Amino acid sequence: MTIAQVAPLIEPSRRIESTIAHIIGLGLLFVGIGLVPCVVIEAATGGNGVAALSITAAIFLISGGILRRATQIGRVRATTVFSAVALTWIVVSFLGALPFILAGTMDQPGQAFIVEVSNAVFEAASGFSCTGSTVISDLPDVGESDPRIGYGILFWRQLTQWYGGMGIVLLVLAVLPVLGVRAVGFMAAESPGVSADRLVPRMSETARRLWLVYVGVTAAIAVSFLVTGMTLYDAVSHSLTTAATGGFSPYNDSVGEFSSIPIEIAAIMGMLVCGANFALHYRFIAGDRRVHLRDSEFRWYIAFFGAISILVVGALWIDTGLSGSSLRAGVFNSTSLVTSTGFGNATGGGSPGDITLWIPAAQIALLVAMVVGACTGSTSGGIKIIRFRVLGSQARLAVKAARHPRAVLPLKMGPNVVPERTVEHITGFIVVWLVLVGFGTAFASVSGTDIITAVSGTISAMGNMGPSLGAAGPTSTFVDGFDTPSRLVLASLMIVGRLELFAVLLLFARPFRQLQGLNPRRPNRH
Amino acid sequence: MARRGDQRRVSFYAPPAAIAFAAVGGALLVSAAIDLTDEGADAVVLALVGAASAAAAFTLYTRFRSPPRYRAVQALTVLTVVWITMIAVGMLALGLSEVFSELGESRRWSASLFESTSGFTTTGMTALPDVDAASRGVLFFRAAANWLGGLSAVIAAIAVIPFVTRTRDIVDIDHTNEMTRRLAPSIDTGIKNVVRVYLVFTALLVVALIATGIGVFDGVAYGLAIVSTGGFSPHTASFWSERNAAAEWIAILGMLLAGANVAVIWWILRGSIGSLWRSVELRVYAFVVVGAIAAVSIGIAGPDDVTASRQAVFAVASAISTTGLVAFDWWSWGPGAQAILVLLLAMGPMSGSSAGGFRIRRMIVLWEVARRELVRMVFPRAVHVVKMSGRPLTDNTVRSVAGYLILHLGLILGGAYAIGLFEDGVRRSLVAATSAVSTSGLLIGVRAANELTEGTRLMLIPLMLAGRLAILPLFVSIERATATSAAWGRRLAGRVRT
Repeated sequence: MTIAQVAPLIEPSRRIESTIAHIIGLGLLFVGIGLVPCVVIEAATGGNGVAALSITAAIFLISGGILRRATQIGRVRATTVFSAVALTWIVVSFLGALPFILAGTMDQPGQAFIVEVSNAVFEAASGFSCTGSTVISDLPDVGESDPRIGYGILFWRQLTQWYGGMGIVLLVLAVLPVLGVRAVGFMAAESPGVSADRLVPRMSETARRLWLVYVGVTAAIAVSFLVTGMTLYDAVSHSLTTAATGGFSPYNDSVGEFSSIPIEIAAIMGMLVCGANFALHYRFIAGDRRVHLRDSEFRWYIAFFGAISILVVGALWIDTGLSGSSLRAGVFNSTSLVTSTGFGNATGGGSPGDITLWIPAAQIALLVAMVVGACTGSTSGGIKIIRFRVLGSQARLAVKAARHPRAVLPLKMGPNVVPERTVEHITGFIVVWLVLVGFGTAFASVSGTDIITAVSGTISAMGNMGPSLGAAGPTSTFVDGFDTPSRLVLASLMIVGRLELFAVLLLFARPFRQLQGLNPRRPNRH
Repeated sequence: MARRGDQRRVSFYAPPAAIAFAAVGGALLVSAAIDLTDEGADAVVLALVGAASAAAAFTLYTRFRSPPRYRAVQALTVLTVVWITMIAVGMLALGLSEVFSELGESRRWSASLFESTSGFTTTGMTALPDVDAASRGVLFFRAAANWLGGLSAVIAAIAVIPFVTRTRDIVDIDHTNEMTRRLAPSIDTGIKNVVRVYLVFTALLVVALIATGIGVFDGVAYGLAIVSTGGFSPHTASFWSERNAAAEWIAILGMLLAGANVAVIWWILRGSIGSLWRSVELRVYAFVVVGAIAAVSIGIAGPDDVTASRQAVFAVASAISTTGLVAFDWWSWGPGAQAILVLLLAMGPMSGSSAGGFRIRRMIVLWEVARRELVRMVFPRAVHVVKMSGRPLTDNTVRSVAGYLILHLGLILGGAYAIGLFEDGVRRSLVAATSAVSTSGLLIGVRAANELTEGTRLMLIPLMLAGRLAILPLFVSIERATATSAAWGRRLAGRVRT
């Protein structure tokens, strides 16, 4: 039965009122469409994964179509928003693992099936959350082909990150009719940062424009990669993960595979652009050429990037002397981790780009970059600079308050007073973030991972970075550093981190479930 | 209390410095006397520096008197001055003594600065190449440095900071603060009571340790170092050399009690144990200790073994109380146990103790804030109040704890970067920085600080000081210094213009 046959069976009047299912259905449809080019690429290059990709595409499109047809937008409560966003991501991450399972990508001799499945889920979660940590250690080199890991499968891996970058729910919002006052809530629940910037009053229009900018930026990055010497396939697949600040690459050595300074410079520029707020990019394109300079978060972002680069290159200078290769490795990896991308430019273990062998100070500077992250409204991860700015001002006020115990000291950023409510929200966010990092670290280290690999791997997962320090660095995989249960914990932390904690945590919070039926306020009906 | 016709000049910083000089001078003179009971190699140096310190105290006392009251910023700066004075005298005494003589002229002074800072900040990392070889006088002085540092820290935390920053009624909402308020109704009574509790606690612990048969000198030295959560040991192998189960249990009890608020010890000494349980912070402290012991026991090899569980209990007590005594080879334990120990030493025990770290009370406040955020996501318009022990916390407390979190994290990560320039290994750098900021001294992977590079040790000095001064006074002093220099800059600029 095709969608066309099923559709008329469900009369609009008999559709079930479920906003959550409707949004999930639309999300599945959109992601399913992306599988079509993967099938084409796999078929054209003679890979073994054509059937796997086709079956997955069918599953995505049919289940998405049924959900969309059978349901309609209903009540939208605060709880609906978080559930819809979190569930969409969870469903997509599980179904997105299907191609890897069906094509046997994770198949290793002597490995249990359950481990294979969990590795596939890890890879998919790492993809959609734009993390970029991988469990595949034997990716083919340039020009080679491996029947197990075909070009189409690899393209799907890149594409998962691209979808996750700007956000699947945001894509859904672009086609949904008015959701009412709560619409901006969906965007806020998915997009990184403390505020969701509405470009135009209509939410669907805002979503459409942001996605258009995203597509445009991706295309521009692809062109810059083409110009600097990549093949079309390489350029497109790397541009997808650069725009998403994801960090997957079809090659083991990531960008290091090309050993090309122009390509690395193009990647650095691309990553920096995508670590900034896309609303700013939209306004820039719309004609406001100085909008970036006026934005204080953007200025702090550039300053932070500069500071981390200087700290890293400085430490490498002390360690090995100032050379072109340490400057190149330092700046590239600083950009990669400040923007939470996770590309590496190491050319195998022991090369200048292998961050796990750097002097400890440089590694600690990278760890700081991994925690802090980049801008609100970008595709990047981490805690975000703006949150640290607010709490940094808070710390300064705490010092001031000790000097003047009775003074009333409002927290100001520029001319505006930051409400107490925001400060507490940010404090709560950082605390929960740190608690989850502590939990992940304890879990992994009790399972036998050494402390540094455990803590940096957890931060890497929560902040959607990709590589960690220690045993799961850029030249190795997460199979080397973590056992299977720990990897599953990390995979869930990636989704939690991508959705900035609260959406997913609320699904499991007891008060939330109790309160779902008891909301005292009248729901918005449409 | 200015006498009628008092000719002395008013000074904010000289009288407290005089007290610091007098205390360290007294400790040095006692150390010199104790050194005479052994070989007496350092007795002359210790006595001379002690006498000089006492003379400095006398001179300052005859020239300056304190003002009737201190403003917050002055009182906080006083704390910095007191510690720097104590550390400077201690450095002089240790540098002139024989203990670092084999290191050569320049390294001798950096090592004695490290040792003195580590002592007075109650950190307890040692730069001594061979502790057992040091003279008795020096060993006693190290323990006394721990003790004085711990006493000053408790006085600051209970009887100074809450009064001058007017956080007495705001920050301390827990039941412990009810107890603290009875212990310290005013600054003067508070200091008196704290000293009294501290002396009784020390005496009891020293007697108990001596009763286990580790010897009078070791009993006194360990007693002083444990009460202050300092952790200097008169032996190279730290507590490891004792191999005495009774002494270990006494030390465990001492460390855990030293990690409690002084008011808690006061109430225990007075016999009113019943009401203690009303303190949320104490309950969480007990819960964390028990949980960590269970986790570490499971994490290390033989949980069925009595020795192994004692090792786990000792390690947990030493880590959470930020004492840093080492009794076992726990750097050979698995990564899980190590991770738990590092988390404990970063957390630290109760506020109002001489220990360092982030402190449990702040953790509780942050936890409540985070929990409220989850509820707020569902009911954005409702009014929620963060409560502790059933009483609401003010916005001010929440804000200051949030600010403190950032300062603390920044200090650890910044320190780890600086240490990472000299040290081998990311884990070592991070653990050393955390340990110094928590004034713990517990290191993982190295037995003592003398195995660290000299650059690392120099970097650890400011971290220990910052951790000891509870960060806030230090930053206030720095802010004041920059404000003053900015004012001078403006004045100079104005002069140039005219």
